[in-house]
Amino acid sequence: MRWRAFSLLPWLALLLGSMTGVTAPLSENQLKAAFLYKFGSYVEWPPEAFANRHSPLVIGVVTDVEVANALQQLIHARRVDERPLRLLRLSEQDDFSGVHILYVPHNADVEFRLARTASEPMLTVTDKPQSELRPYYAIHFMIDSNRLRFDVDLDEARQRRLRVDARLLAIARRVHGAGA
Amino acid sequence: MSPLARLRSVRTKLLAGVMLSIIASMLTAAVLLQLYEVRSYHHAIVADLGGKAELLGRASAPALDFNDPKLARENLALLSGRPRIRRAALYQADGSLFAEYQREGVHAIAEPERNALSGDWVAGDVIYVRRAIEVDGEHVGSIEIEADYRLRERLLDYLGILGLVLLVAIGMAWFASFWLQNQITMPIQAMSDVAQRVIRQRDFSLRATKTADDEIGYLVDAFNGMLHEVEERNAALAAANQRLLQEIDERRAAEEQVRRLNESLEVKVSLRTVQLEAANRELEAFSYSVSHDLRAPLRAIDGFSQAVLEDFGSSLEPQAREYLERVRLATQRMGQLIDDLLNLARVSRAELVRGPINISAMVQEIAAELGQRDPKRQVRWQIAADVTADADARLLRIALENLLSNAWKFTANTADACIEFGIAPSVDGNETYFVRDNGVGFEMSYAHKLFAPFQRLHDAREFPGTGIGLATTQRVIRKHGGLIWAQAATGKGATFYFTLGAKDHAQHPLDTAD
Repeated sequence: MRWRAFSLLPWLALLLGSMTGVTAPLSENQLKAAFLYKFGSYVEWPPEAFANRHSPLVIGVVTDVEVANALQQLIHARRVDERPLRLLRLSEQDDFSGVHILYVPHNADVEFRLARTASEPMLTVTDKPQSELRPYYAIHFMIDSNRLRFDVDLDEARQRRLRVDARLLAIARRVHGAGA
Repeated sequence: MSPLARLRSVRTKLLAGVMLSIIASMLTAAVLLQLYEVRSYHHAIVADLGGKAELLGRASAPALDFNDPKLARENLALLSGRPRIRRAALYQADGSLFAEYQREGVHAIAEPERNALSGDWVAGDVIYVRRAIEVDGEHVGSIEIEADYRLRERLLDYLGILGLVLLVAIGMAWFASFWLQNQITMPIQAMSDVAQRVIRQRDFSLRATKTADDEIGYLVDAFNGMLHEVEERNAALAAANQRLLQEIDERRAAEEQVRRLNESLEVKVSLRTVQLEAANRELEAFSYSVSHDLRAPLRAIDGFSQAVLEDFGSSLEPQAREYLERVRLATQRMGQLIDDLLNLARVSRAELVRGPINISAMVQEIAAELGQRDPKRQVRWQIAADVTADADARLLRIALENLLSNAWKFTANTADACIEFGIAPSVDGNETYFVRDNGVGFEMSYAHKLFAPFQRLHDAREFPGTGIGLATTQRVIRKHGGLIWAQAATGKGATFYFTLGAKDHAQHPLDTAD
């Protein structure tokens, strides 16, 4: 079985396994959820971000139920770097401390809260377009030639004491910040 | 085979040995190297391709994670700097092709389906190396690299190199062995030449020259030592030979002398023998004629004495008659003496003619004659029956007559006289006969006189006799090659033993001791 043309198909297979064999295209939200937990493999948090070696990697999704639902399905029984994954469904008013990957959809307004935790080791992801103002996000999703892609802001990541794998940078559509 | 050819064969053998060992070692090394090469080539390729696959897989993991085939293709395209790699492909976790790189001019080969996520396998001239790609323990896909597998080509290259090396080595070995051969064969050749000359000229003073201080040098030393030894032995042998020749000459001369002496001795002996025989014959003839001629006057004396007594007896004085009686007795006794002497001479001259004889019968006859001669006597005879012998009947009868008449005579005064004839236990394997009586016997100290003529042990008045009988008997027995001896004691009788020798037997050896 070979598929060359459909680049989205692997993700279907990834999600449904070989149980059904149904080949429906993945939604944008499903892709976003997959990307979100995959980032965990290519980003290194400072040690103080975790209580111990087996503390869970916490993914916080603000307000976006679709992405949260998709993620719920994905992270079940998966691990990143030996850590179990935990999903937090957050409101705009919730405290973000203890979250390692935070997804902020374009319709959520949490900028002032983020500014208060500007130095916390948290990978901030959004599908808002890049802004000239702070607070910045480390990763921006966008649709480019019909594919879900992302930009990386290295300055922001460094600010939050995160180290981003060069391989992730190779995937990124564009890399901002020092050295880029 | 000439010595030179033999040396050449030594050369050939040396060369063959060197070549053989070189080729054997080279071939062994080549086979081992090839085996090693096959292994190491495969391992190297798998390690190389595996490393590349892992590297590319790792680099391409995010592309798979974040669904970026373009990046994956770019990653794979890095392999274009490696012309050996025909094709590389990234597969997703479900096995579907994600990205691919193909060397220019290479057509994708219908790749066999493989289930293994990782591994390597060879199909013809192509090797496939596949590695799984994992991110955080999660299988996200796999990468496969397909490359030329030039083992055969490589092995052929190796074989070419090996052949070249072998050729060079053989060439070098050839030269080396030539040098070696000269080192070995030259001295041997020289030694061989010396040996040839020694054999041809028989000159053991020749010596081989020692050129090296190695085994061949020792060989040359040993050879020279041997030559020296042979030379010395030869000299010693020649000297000994000379001595022996001289000795032989001396001995031959001595032998010649002995032989000449012997010859003259033989001539002398035969001459003496002839003289002796002549003398003996003359003597016997003389004694015979004397005895014979003596009888005529004796008969005249006796006859005329008798005539005087018969014709004029009555007119004679008794004293004269007694004198005449004495004359007659003396003449009769002399006649008897002459008879005996004639007998002895006859026995000596007689030729021995052997034949089968019944001795028992002969003894019976003689006993009967003795009984007729003196019928008044009472003698008990004990004669063993059927005693036979191979002897001269006439001579043996004379011997037995003498022995038996002696026994008869010496038992004259014995009451219950007994004369015995029989066979005694044999002596020296010869049949021994005996004649025994229980008469007066004799003293053994006189035994040596018994068989000498005219020797008498007893008073002639008591036991008349001439003393020639036993001498005659002994002569008869000796003529037969036999022996005679006596055993006796005074008053207890005498026993005479005799043997007759074997048929055609020479004279008994003890006979000469007499």
